[in-house]
Amino acid sequence: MSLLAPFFLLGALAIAAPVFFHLIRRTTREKIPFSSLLFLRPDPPRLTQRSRIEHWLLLLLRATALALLALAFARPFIRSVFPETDSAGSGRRMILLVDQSASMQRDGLQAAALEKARDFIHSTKPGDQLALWTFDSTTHRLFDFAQWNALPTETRAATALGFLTESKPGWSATPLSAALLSAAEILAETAPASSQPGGDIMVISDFQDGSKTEGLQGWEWPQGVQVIPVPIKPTKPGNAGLQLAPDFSGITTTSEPAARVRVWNAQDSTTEQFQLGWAAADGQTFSGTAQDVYVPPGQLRVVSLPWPAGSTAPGRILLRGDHETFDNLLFATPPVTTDIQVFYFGAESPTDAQQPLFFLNRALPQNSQVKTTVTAIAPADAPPAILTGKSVGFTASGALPPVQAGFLHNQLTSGKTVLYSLTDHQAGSTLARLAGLAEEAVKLEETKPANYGMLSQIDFQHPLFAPFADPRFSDFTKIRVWNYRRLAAAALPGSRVLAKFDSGDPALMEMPVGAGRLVILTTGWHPHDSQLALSSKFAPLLSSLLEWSGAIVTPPSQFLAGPPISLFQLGFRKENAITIKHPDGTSTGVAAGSGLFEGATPPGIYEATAGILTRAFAVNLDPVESHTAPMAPDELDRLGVPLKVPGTSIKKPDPAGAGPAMETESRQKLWRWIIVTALAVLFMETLLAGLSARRATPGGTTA
Amino acid sequence: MSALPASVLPPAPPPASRIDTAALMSIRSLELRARAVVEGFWSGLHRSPYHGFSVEFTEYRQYTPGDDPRHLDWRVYARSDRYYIKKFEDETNLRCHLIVDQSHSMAYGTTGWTKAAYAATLAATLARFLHLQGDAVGLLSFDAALRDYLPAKQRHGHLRQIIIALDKPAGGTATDLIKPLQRITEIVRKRALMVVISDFLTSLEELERHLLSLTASGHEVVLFQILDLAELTFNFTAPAIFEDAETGRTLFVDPAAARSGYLERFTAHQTALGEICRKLGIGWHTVSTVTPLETVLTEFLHDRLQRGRLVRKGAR
Repeated sequence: MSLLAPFFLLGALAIAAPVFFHLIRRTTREKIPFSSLLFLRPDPPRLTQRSRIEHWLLLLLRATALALLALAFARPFIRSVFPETDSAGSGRRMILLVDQSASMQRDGLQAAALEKARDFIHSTKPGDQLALWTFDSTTHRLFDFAQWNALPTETRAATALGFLTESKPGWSATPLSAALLSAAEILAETAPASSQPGGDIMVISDFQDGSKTEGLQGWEWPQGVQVIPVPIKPTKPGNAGLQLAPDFSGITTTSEPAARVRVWNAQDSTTEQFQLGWAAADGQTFSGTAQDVYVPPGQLRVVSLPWPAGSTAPGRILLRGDHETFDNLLFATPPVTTDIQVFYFGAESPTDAQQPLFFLNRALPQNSQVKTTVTAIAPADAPPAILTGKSVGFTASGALPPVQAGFLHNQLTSGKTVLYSLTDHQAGSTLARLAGLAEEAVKLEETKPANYGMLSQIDFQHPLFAPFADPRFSDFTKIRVWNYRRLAAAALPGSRVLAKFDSGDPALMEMPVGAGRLVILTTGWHPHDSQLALSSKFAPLLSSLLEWSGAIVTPPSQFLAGPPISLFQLGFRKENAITIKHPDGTSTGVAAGSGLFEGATPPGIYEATAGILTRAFAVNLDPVESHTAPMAPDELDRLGVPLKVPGTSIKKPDPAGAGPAMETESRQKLWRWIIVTALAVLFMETLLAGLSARRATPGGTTA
Repeated sequence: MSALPASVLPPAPPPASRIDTAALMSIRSLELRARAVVEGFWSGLHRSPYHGFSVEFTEYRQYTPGDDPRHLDWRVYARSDRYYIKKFEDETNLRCHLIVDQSHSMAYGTTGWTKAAYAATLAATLARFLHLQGDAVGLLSFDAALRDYLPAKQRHGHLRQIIIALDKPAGGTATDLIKPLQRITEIVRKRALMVVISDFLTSLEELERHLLSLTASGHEVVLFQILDLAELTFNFTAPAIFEDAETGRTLFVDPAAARSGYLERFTAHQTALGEICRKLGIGWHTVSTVTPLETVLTEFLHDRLQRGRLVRKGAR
């Protein structure tokens, strides 16, 4: 039997109280008046053996009640030591899961985990079957049941330990739920008919707060599978971590580019004062001036760290003042500015506020991430020369000369996107040329709605309108259309109507031409035709069009170490074969079509190259891995994990591991029975005391 | 218990005709209590084996010439038209003085009523009984000092005054039997019946001398010793501090150890008192507070009858 709060046993010293009262009772008794003391002689109070024997049962009952109360407050529970419980079920199948997430890099944790694992492996019986797994971002099966069974009994433990010793903590988060579910499934699926169903999963982990346990919620555990948590505690509590926050500096053109860093300090931390700055080449010191950051335990601060002036290379951000160094380095890439050249084919003056070009100049994005240049190509001008690798966009309105139409058609077929606005009902032949159709194939009819037209039946599933899918932004009814050109959708084979007017005529259409896309707006955005250019939807719509066309690429500011990285997010295409350069200088290749880069560890700056396109990207530690405070003791129980509750250790139950002990105690609740017994004893004591008090009173009452 | 004389033990349960002591003592009025006892006694007298005796006979004798005409009973003459002389009235009319202890020690009782209440009831019963017989009754109450004195009278209304004096609560810090005995010896010159009602839980050294002076003065003396059951048996069990009701002196006593010593000393005291009474020819009645008063009265009268016969035998 063990005790959860053994200090309460000191309360048993109160047993001395009844003894004490028992002893002094004779001298403190109340006086009895008597008529005359003539015939009485003094009888000095003395403790006689007889008086003690007279109430020994009463004394015994009181002492028992007090001792029981003290025992109940000490909250006893019966702890069964692991090997004993297992010896009963010899032939059990067990999976030993060892956490190898980044947080296990903390001082002493890996050694402690190995120690626990070694104890566990040595405690196995000859009839047992053991599999040895580690888990970081994925589960690594170092040693499975088949290997265990194949080996002679005497070499099994040494072989398993050999595998485990080679294992080192990685850089990923702790997907505890995935590892547990995977192990449970294996135990359930591979159970031989001769053996008991299920088995034990022993998890050696730091059980940090940032462990991912969501997957355990509501999962139905296979019969007979039990989990034995073995928590490992760090020698020193507390940790501070870094996280790269989203950068909003691109919204304005004037703000200085800066990396926004969240500094997180754990609840159990003892340090509050940190320094943050750009790291020097050695990764240990600051390259410039560091900022002092004050973060109380359990809180976070966001620090804006300006990029070094003129720096275009990726940088490292260093946190100092935290004793756990595994998460004190953050990698960041500077914001990339994309220059986009948009060619506008039309004859308008850029200063004429009634013409489309005027609005185009103002609505295209201009910020630190995207710089757009509009080049107007007059009907008389020759088609522009297009530089390879440069982001370009094309837009046109009205009827175009055949040369320009032919040029745009060529661009379309080569994969570019062209927005063509039908500001004139005579633009049908140009549209036909762009689409690669016969000139007469497309007929436009000038239409003037009776009152005004509105956009309806908008396809919010299309990437062009996807940003507007939220009901807060999906109201296009304020855009009124005065004139448009009716176009039969059937005239353009393969076209798709993205939006219609309320009359049912197409308003915006998309048509694949070669490898490119032709987007047709059947009205103009200038005030003569519609209110589109004056509405708040116009600029986002143009940005959306540029992104859809591939002209704007906004790569994520960082990736997380561990899970696979989709390189398409960096602007690479399926057809690209990509070479990845690791921080240590080695290179790996990603085959064309896959685009998935696996094994992005350790954190650092990686460089992906495909042809002339080179993108550097930062891979950082998952910020939740910095949340190293231990998870709530009943967290696994709450998630419905079938816990097997022996001691926290294998051979020597660890008194410091109060979590499972508390669970055991709360499950057994022995204190309730002890309290009931104490009440019964007290009841007996009351009865006995009443009886003896009645006997002690003289024959009558005094007057 | 075995060490006690049989006379002090509680009597057998009273017959149905007698009034239960507890019921009697629950009557608040002392006068009513006395009346209940005496009337019950009178009615029970018809069946009593002691029929016909009295404290003193009042004898009538037919007038013969030569008798003092002052002694003619004119009331009898008025009824019967015959002359009768109350010849012996003066000699036979009893004067009784009730000397009642009202000290604090009498305020003790474990039976639901105190010794003082029982003593007052006994005194009132005797007073009423004697008064109804035409005897003169007086009262001297005392504690550490003398309290009330009422001379013996047979007057109408005198009984009421006696009962009022008896109804006073007990007081005083000690029991001094000597002073009242001295005083009564000084005051009462005529031969009288002296009834002393007390617990006599006091030193007996002086008592004997003063009782002697009383009997020497020709008075007949009867002692009623009123005792509680706890005093008779000392039936306590738990060790306790015992406090003297009069002096306030405390004493730690373990009854289990002290009982035998108590009973021994108590018996010695009683024996000494009994010896004094026997020597001086004094009637002595030890009465427990649970003894029915009728029994006490009956025994008293029976004792006096026996004593009268003895006296008469002795006179011959």
